[in-house]
Amino acid sequence: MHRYIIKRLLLMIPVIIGVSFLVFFIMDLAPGDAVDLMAPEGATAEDLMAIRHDLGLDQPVVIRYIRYMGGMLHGDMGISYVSKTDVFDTYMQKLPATIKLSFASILVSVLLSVPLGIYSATRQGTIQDNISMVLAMIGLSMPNFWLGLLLIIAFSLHIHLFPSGGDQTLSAIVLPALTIGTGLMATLTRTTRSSMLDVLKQEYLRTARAKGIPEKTVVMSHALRNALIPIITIIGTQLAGVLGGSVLTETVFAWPGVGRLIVDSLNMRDTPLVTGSIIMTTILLSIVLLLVDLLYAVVDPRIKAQYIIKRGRKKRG
Amino acid sequence: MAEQKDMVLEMENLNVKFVLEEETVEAVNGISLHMRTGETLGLVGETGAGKTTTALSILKLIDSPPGVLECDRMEVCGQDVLKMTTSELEHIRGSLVSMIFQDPMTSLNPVFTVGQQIAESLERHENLNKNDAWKKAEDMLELVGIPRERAIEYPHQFSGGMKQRVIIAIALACSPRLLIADEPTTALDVTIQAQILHLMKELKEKRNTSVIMITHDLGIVAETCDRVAVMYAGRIIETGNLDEVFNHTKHPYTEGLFNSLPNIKKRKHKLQPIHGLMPDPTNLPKGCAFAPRCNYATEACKERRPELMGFGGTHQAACLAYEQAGFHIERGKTNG
Amino acid sequence: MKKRTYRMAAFLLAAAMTAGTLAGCSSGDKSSEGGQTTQAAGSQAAEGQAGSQAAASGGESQAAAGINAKTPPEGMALKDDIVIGMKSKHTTIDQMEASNTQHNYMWRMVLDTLVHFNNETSELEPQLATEWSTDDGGKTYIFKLREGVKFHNGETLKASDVAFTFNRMEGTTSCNGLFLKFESVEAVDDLTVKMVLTDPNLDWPYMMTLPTSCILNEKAVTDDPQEGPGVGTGPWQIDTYEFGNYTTLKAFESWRGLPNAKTFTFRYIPEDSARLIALQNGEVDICAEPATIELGRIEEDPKLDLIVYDGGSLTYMAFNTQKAPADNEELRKAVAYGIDLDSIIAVAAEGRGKKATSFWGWSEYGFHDMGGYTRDLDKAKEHLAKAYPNGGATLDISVSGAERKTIAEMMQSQLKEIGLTINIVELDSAGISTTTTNGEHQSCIYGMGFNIFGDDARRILQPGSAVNKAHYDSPLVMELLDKAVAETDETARKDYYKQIQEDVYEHAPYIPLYYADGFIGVKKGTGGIDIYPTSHHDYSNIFVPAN
Repeated sequence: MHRYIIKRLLLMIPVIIGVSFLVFFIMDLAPGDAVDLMAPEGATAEDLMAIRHDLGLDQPVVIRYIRYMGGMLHGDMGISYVSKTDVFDTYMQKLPATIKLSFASILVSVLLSVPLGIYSATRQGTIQDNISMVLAMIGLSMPNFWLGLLLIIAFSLHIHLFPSGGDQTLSAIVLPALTIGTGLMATLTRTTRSSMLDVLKQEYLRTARAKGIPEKTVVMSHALRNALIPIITIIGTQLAGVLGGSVLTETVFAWPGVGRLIVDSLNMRDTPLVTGSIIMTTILLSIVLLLVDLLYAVVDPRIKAQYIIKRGRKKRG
Repeated sequence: MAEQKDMVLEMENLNVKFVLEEETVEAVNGISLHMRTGETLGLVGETGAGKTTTALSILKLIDSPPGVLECDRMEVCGQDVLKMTTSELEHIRGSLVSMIFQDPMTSLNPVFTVGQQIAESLERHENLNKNDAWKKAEDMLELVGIPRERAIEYPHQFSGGMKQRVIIAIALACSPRLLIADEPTTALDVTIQAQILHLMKELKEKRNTSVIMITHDLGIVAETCDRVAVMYAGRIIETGNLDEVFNHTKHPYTEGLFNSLPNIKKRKHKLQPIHGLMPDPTNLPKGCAFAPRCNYATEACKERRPELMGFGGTHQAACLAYEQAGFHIERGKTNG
Repeated sequence: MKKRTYRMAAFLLAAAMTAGTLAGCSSGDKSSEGGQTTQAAGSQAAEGQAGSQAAASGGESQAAAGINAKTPPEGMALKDDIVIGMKSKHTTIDQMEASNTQHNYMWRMVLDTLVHFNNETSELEPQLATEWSTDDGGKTYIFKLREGVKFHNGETLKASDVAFTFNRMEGTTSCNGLFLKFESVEAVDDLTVKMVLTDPNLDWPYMMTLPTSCILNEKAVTDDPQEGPGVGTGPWQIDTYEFGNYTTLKAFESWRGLPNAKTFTFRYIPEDSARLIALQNGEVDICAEPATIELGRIEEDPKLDLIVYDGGSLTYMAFNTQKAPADNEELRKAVAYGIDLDSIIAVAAEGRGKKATSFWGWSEYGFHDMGGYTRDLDKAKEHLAKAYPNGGATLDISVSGAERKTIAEMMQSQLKEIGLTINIVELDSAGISTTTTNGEHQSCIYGMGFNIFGDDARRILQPGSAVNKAHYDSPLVMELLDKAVAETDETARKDYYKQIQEDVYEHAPYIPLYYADGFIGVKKGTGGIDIYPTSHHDYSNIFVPAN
């Protein structure tokens, strides 16, 4: 198992190199550079050249990339062109807000979708099933941007229950989490439903029922645990997705997360900040996906056995 | 009343239909079963004859919808199953009546240890705490011939025969009065089959459990059963004790079953399979369901449905041919 | 001192609006000096704005209606903690690293300049400098500093701080341009600063009013290069900040006095609707840059005031004069006479803009009304025929942003009538900035905020300047600019500026389009905001009613 984890962690290195390379060069190919945007309106061409030289932007992109990666080796992710702050610090400043919002959103999504999916599956083909699936689809079909505004207008402007945005108060997380959560709902509900339908057909549930296990326990314990693998997969992917930052929701709710940081710095062509943020996000996602894989083993003993068998084979080989 | 107390199962006129959007499947049509303590009944028939549906009906485990269960009377150990609430039903399942399913590979929950799966019904029916239930689960494993240390293992770590042992341990954990074994050995190797059957017989005798042995294998019936009921297209077409049905076969279908068995003594003897297929359960013929495949069928057979009639002792068969005096089937002639 | 045509118009409008207010209040409880504003006044202001485009409704006309009063009325309970919702975020607390609206708000509150420009009188006033003079026609300046001015860190302002500040400008993002304009800045004694410029510049004192020339504390910056630039002499002091989220200032008893509140927080709420809802909801007291299409909601809300001012930012069209096809003057004139500015303003700016009649800031020194180009299809076709005798004329217009895209689309349909095909090239803000600076565009729609001094036009007309989006290279214009900035005679100076405007009008490297109106949404009764046409308002003296 440890070997497996170490292998997965080592695999992140080529991924990081690849990602940083792509980001760096795409940023270079995109029209516009940070200097034009940072300079005051009155700047002359000489001013711009001075700033470029200051930032090292007058060097060819390959040199800049090699320098950047050299810094990375020492754990230095560079300095933001625009704010002149350390990229790692800047990213870490925004990360807690994003993590908070991500988990809150996933919580909303799970709390709504899993029961709804189970309910649907146990009533397959009935009108309740159809209504549940439509409910779940509504979440997906409403653009986050628009849903966010609707929620603000309803819960903030009219009934003053939650603030319209920011992260100053604890309750401020409710509306953005609802916005993202309902957006994730459709996929998770459908996955839960189809996975449960699959499991509900299994004969071991008949065994459980024949043992006299109450239907609730049969569904919630015997069936659900078997249906968890696809559900966990989706939750993991969704978590990875929102950890990368939910730009639109963060924008509507003025949520100071990494999504907005990346987009803002992208708009400013702040290459070190964009590259650094994306590398950090990549690392984060790899870790989340690894944790999901490990969770499979916890949920399903057969998968755990596979991990162990793999290791065994390696040893023999 | 004394006789009543002795009865484990009394089932009168069971009908089960599956009402689908397009069609209605008539799976079981008017079956009556009566069983005493300690008795073993072999329920024999081809795939699709309604054996499993009949068995599941006793536990009221028919999915509804689409299943519709109608029955004049169904009592398990004197308790009226038909009037039971869901939670009362859940109480008799696994404690009064348990079931062993056909495929041990798919009948165990892959994410729980076998110990958990045995202990679960003990906890539920015998009011044992976790520790005691676990200990008893280990005892049960030992009883079915599995070392108790393996209780912490998961089903995927067991072979097919071992799994079936686990399933038997689950089924017998709460000492049920009636055990329904639905083709318990079909999915197993022949050598393992014998072990499992032997185990079941041993345990049944030890605990005086009644058993309904569902099978299509007449050999198993001969080995394990006291009585036989032969099913065809959702009906019992012949029933009686082992001797009556095996040695004094009355029904042409039962005859067909025997003829299709390989005979080790006469190796050159050709197998005589029953020609044709079982009728479509969504569209059963008006008369005798076996008539289209029956060598003795007359016009009357196509028109009228035969009822069970007595042939002395417990022996009953449903065949119109016996209305003609002197009719006998060929096997009847040669055998006896 | 300066020609301020708009002021007259503003006065007339103010009079009209006061009449309207009176008519609206049937009960007759007429609000006295800047008391509570009636709802009618708010909507009246908007009608007045939309009704007369030529007329301006500057700060003073609204003040008459009780909006953005200068000082809080007697006995009014004031809010201690003020929050402003911002469209853009802060990225630095170093004034030399960023010069844009969102940062300038902060510099004006936290830092002080040597000289202050009074928006009402258009006069220069003492700020950190009590007096200044030049005796060689604008090449050497002597500034006398105010005595006993304290920085937030307790240090006293000295001439050496000024010298340190100016010498620190070298190589900085937003102040390097200013650095190149002087030879030396040095402290003569503790309270006297001597500045020697590279060329005579009579606008220098005006430049000393801009946020880019705010004075820092030498000790603070040397002790802590990270936080030190945030230490100033203004009435507000930087307290806590998280870029991309918020910046909080706290009141400081400065030489300018104590502010009307205890804290002032900038909150970054990029989404227009959410920012406005935060205002309606009372989560923020000020909504900066409300979306034009949502202004009605502020006007209709009885708890809010809409502050309207004439913006100094000009939206213009620039032709790349160094590259075909826009290097052809006839083509440029065909466009100038082929477009209908009134309908463009009505649609693209929702009617909330003032038609530009000359390529110059309306509040800028030396503005001369050229009358603009009037749509004349025959004239346009004539010019186009000269440029393209065989037809087949096409022109690319680069744009960024919804409003400017709308402008380009309207031009596209209008110019189709004279047979000119327009291709719209859409870019993001970074993309258009660089491509137009590098001269890869054929033409573009762009904007610039003009400052009050005449020489400010230099940056958009001088070859090699990043904002010279026309890449216009006219030796005559440059000569006139040089002459004007060193000319002490007012009449001659204004004449030079008039000649420049005539030259641009004649050769049409730029077509001025309109000055968009500026808006601020505030909680009702809010005042004390010093409105600058450049949008770099001073919120130092802001007050917000409690409750």
